[in-house]
Amino acid sequence: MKIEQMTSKQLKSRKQMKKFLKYLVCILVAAVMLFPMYWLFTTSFKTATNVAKYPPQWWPNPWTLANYKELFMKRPFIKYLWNSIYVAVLMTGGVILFSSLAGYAFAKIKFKGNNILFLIILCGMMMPIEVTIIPIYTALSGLKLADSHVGLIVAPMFGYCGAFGTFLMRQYFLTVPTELIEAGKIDGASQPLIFVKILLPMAISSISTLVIFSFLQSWNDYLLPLVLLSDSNKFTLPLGLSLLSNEDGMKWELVMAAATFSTVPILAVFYMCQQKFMESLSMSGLKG
Amino acid sequence: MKTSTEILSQKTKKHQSLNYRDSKWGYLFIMPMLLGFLIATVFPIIATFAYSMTNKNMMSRTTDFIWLENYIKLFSDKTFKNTLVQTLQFTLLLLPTNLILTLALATLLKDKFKGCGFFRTAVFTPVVTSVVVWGVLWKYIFQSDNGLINAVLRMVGITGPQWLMNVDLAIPVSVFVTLVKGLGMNMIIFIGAMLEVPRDYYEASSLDGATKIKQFFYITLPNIAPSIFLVLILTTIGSLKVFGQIKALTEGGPGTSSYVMVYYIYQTAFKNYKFGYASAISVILFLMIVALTLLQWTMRKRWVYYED
Amino acid sequence: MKKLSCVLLALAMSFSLLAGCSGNSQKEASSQNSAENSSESSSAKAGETTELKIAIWGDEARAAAYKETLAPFCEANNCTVSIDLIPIGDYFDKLASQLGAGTAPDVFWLADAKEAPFIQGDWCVNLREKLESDPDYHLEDFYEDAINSTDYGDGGIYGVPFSFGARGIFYNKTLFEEAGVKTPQECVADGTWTYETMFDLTKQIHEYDSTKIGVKLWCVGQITNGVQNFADILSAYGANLLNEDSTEFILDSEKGLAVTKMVYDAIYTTGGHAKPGDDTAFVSGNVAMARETYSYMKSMANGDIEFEWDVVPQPYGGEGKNGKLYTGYAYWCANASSKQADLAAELVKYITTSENLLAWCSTFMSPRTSVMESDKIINLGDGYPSADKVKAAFVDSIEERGLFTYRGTSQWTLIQTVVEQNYEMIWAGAVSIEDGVAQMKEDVTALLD
Repeated sequence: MKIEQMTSKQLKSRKQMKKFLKYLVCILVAAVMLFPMYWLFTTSFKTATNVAKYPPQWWPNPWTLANYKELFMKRPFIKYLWNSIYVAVLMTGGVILFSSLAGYAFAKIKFKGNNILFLIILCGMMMPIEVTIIPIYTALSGLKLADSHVGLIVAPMFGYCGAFGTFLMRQYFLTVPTELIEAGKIDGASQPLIFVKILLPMAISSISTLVIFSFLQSWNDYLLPLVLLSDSNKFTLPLGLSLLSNEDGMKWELVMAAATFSTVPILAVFYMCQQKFMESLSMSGLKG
Repeated sequence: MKTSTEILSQKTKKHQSLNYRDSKWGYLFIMPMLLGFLIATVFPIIATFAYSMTNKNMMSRTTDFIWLENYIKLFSDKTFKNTLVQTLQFTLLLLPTNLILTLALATLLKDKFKGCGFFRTAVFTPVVTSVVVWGVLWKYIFQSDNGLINAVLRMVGITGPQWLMNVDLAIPVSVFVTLVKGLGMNMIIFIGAMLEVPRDYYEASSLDGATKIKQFFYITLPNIAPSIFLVLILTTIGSLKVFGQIKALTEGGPGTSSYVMVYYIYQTAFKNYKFGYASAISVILFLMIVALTLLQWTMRKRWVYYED
Repeated sequence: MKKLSCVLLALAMSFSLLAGCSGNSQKEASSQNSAENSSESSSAKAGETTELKIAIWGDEARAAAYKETLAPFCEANNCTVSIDLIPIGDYFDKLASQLGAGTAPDVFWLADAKEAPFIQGDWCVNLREKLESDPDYHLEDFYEDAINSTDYGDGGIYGVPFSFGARGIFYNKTLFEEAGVKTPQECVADGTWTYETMFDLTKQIHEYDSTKIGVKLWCVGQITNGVQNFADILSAYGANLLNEDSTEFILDSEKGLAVTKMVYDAIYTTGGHAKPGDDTAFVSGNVAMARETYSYMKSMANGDIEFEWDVVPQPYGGEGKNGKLYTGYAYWCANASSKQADLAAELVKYITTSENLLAWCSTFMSPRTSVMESDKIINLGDGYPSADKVKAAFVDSIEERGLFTYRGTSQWTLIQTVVEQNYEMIWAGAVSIEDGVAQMKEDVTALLD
């Protein structure tokens, strides 16, 4: 009796120790990841002089909304926000549509040149945008499309994001057993129907990853809008942020405020989505 | 009554016509992406190849073909050689640490437990911030005198080094900042893959007395191999193309000790206006990445087994 | 496969042809411009509203203010003006790519010795005739060195300077009083305000409180500009980075090395000078002395500063009053390849009249005598130091010591980069000062014209 009691106690304490360690590691990791965000967030509510204070103010005193007021009322950050949102949404939508179609075709449909075309698309991820931006800009300005959002939406959609999306979707669709598709074919369904009704819903996890990835690429992109846009009314958030510095240096408090509201909403959305996303994954049970 | 041969030939015919229709659909499905890709990506790449053989200067009105002169110049360019080495150093530091840490984090955070949502979001937070803001924040933290790290060290009596003004520390610090930023993205790819591994495998093996570690190496890893491959390729490409962090943290410094390829390209094209030369460097980078990716691609046949 | 590669090749060739053509068409356009200029401007005045695009750095508030200033011009010339904002860090990159693609604005700013490739590339209109011919413009009102600084040998004026100025030393009065250290203003009064004194005060402040920065020779936003940051101190001791027409590297002289060592000691040996990369701003109250521009006073007065501050002129060095002070210039330029080059030139002329430069003088100190001798520039109001102190620091100092600037070269941006990179190697302790400067000499000389 005693041994069993001891053993179960030992087991319990070992379990508790493991749990404690797990939480400790999680907290440490979270601290490193979150600290810059904490700094970003709190600094956005500080007054200009307190921003540069040393020792640094860990807790703003006083809290002020002046920075946000300035961004939204005196500066056109609402406009920048809107531009960023609709460019990112359109770009992401396009990427999802075209890469899932292409990824599926590359994975499952046998046609001539499958592998080679896929490798070509893969290569699209490899040339740095810093240098391809100039030919793109030259071409767009030749077409009189330079100072518009068209370039911002189309270039990444058929560039890095599209290539990545195709790669991701292909990898996913490769894991879908062919029997499912064959079953659909024998039932007389055409490829588009199979795609829309069967495969797309199944690929929700990869699609979610792609949504997050593409949206962030567009949201945080600085170089493409910098080179393509001239009219400040068309600026996106990162560009608007860069206007907060001039020959007198950077206005830290405003930069932090702009960076905070570029980041916090997305985080909130991610937090809400990651539950659903993880749930859908564990319930997919395709192989279970 | 149809003979078996007739039924078979009927089925084959149907199959053949299905295959033909399949081909049609295949081409149709990839057409938008392929077309857009040709215009938006392939042309600029070809243009870059073309420009690399010219002396195009951002502000000159004429451009002449100088063929392989740029490439010959690259051979004797000391900065280029250093940059190449430093880029590889960066990649070699980042790749294994990224892979190991993200696998570890994914294992840690894949099961549902109290607060897992918070922790997952925490790890994902750096992914959401823009590269520039992230770099600027960490530059502030790593400042020599009054940066957070050295201030804390000073409280314990240690004088911290000049983190970003030290030839030996510049690249490791940049790797650290890049690492912390990228962990979240790869982690969710891995969590997604890990959650798809059927529970039966684990249950069956634990009945046989397998430890968690053994389960990880013999069940988890092989089953998420395609995702590992994906992350490997993406991280390689990403680290060879790193730019934003270097620009924000060290600007390639001190001196040129943290110059990476894309930063050198950017400097050459936009600060020195030598677009032709910058294109040549880009071509070299491009070929490097293609070579490495093809290498990984062919190696996948060995350890990813459910592709045909 | 073969078909595909043929198609790709054909498309590639057509693409590169396209790229080449755009280059050629620009050449034709600019040569046609000079012929069509006069007819263009008359048609602009005749009836159709033309739009002029201007590129500046700054924010929306500045753009709106310039639009206001230009309103009378627009009315008189029947045109509208749109202002493009380019972030200052990427200003020249973007402008260069726009000029290359033929989408550049009609009027733009240039600055900081980086104007050379633009001027030498024939992108700027020569404004000399237009400006000389109008007596109401008072071209002679401009400081000679300033207005001629865009002359690369042909006597032209390719940009009108609208911003210049010597830096002053801002100091934190409250901190000095707390530490019981003699203030710079007191040193000025008894004639002991030299660099040696300044570094000595730095040491004293650092000993009083090691978390405070004694002095910062780099201005906000120019932490990594080794060329501008040390120009004043080098000149004060009779040394410099480059010779007068930027054809020779001369930092490796005895005096140059001595000054570099002086700064190095202030950072690393005796301590007190801000470490490279340190961005602590003077507004934070954490910096005892900082070298900043005239327009920095505006940022100080507009923030809620909790300490008392004052300005003094820069210290003297071994050369005393013969040590010239450094200035950069920012210019308004008209795009020579623009279809409205003449109207653009008119705009530049309008925006740089004495009246308009005076209107902007609290933001930009302009090299016109009428501006520099005006009351407006020294009487800045509440929250600013008294007029006589401002005058002593920013106006009289120029008169007393004179100004110098670096003559731009075609690879100036790269020279700036290379100078800073070599300074960084010295700061990092990776090389000795002598070796660092020797390497700098090698790298810079390779880039000089």
